[in-house]
Amino acid sequence: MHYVLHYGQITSYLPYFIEGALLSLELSVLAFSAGLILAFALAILRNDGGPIASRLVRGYVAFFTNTPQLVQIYVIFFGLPDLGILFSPFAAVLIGMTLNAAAYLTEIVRAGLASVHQQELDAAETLGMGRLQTLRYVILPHVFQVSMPPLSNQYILMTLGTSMAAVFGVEELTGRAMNVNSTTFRSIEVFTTIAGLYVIITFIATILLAVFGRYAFRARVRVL
Amino acid sequence: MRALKSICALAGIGLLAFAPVAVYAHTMDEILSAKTLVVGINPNLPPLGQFDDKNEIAGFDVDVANKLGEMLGVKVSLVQVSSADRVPFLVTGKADLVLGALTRTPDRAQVIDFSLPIQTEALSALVLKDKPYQSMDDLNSADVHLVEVRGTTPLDYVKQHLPKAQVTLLDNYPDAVRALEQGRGDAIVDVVDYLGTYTKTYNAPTRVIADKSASIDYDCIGIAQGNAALKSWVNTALFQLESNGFMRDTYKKWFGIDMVYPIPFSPYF
Repeated sequence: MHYVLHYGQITSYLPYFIEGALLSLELSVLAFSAGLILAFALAILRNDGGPIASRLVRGYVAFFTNTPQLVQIYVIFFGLPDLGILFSPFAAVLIGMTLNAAAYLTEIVRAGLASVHQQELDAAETLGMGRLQTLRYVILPHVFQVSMPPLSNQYILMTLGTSMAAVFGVEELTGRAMNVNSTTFRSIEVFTTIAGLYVIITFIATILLAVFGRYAFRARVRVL
Repeated sequence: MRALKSICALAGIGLLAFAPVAVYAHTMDEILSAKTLVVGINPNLPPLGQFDDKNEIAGFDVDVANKLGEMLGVKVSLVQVSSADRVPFLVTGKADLVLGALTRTPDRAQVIDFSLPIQTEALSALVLKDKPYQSMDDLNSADVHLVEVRGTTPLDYVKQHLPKAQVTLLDNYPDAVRALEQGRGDAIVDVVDYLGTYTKTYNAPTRVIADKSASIDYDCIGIAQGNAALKSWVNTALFQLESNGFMRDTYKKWFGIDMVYPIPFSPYF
């Protein structure tokens, strides 16, 4: 082994990498938020939507949690254009990640909903709370507190999963690292640098999620 | 007891597999005594390398690699490489030789050695037939979308000569051509020899814009740096294959045409 580390050779690419990291962060935050909203709708349909809707949601969750995300995005990116539906690379990846996230998040949200006791709902009703008030002050804080650890996990997995966007022409962090690696051949330096950047963006987002939970729902959660 | 022993032995082998091993490319002696030459081939780069009906890699590069192995009297073991990891495979000793349209560049020459050229490449553009573009210069416009492959040298040309065009980078040639066919881009700037193969494979009507002033790249076989014995043997063998017509015939067999810019016989090479 005669390999000498030369981080100096890639420091000029740092702004280029940070831009890519922000794109990864954007992708994961958008897909997570949209997926979470969709997941709430699906979880409620699954619980109270009647037998047909409930079965459909179960089928959706089973399908999307048992196929690779890469394959799902391939269908959207290369399959749908043959039917005349052409999404931009960013949109195709975002839609694929959102649909995938919604499937996993549905189960997480459902577990959170199941942890709300009937007595609490009865108490809310006794206090004269409306349905929306009950949702805002009783159900959501409960769901958020119980679901925070699995939500954070899922969010981190999604952020790391954005690396597959490079395959579809989205110039996020991993794609940019591949570009720099193919011109500098500094594989160790390039990929350890972006590994560090991934840790930073997942950490930032986990803290943001905890802060949001703390102020929106007074849910006390530990980040580390 | 015997079961326990074999479990221990298995665990030991397992551990060995993960033990850090100093990576060196094989020397000529090691290749000859192991009777195996490890060659990196890109299976996503027809007609240089592609999976055939029997799901085995076949193509121009494979024929050249097998011929070299035959001349050296060793078995050729093919490993799959992609455009972006051809050089790393040599640097880390995972392959003795690497093919796959490896263009000779000073940057790469800092970390690997090159054989004599086995193939030339000159850039041109594959465009959808109904697009108005007539010359390379027409492609230098902000409303032109190019589809290119990550980690390839045409990207430098695009950066220099077509800086206004928007570029989408994909992972491999099949994906890039598919994306062009589906309307994700207006043109692919790459090498005319390969474009001929793809126009046959895909349905969308396309045409080629040639660029007579384009500079010619010379593609070589990559060899781990400092492996002088192997390099000098490969060069001698290549000279013989070039002289006896093997290279020309093999090229024509796979590309369907003679090399657009033949490799000049000059003392400079």
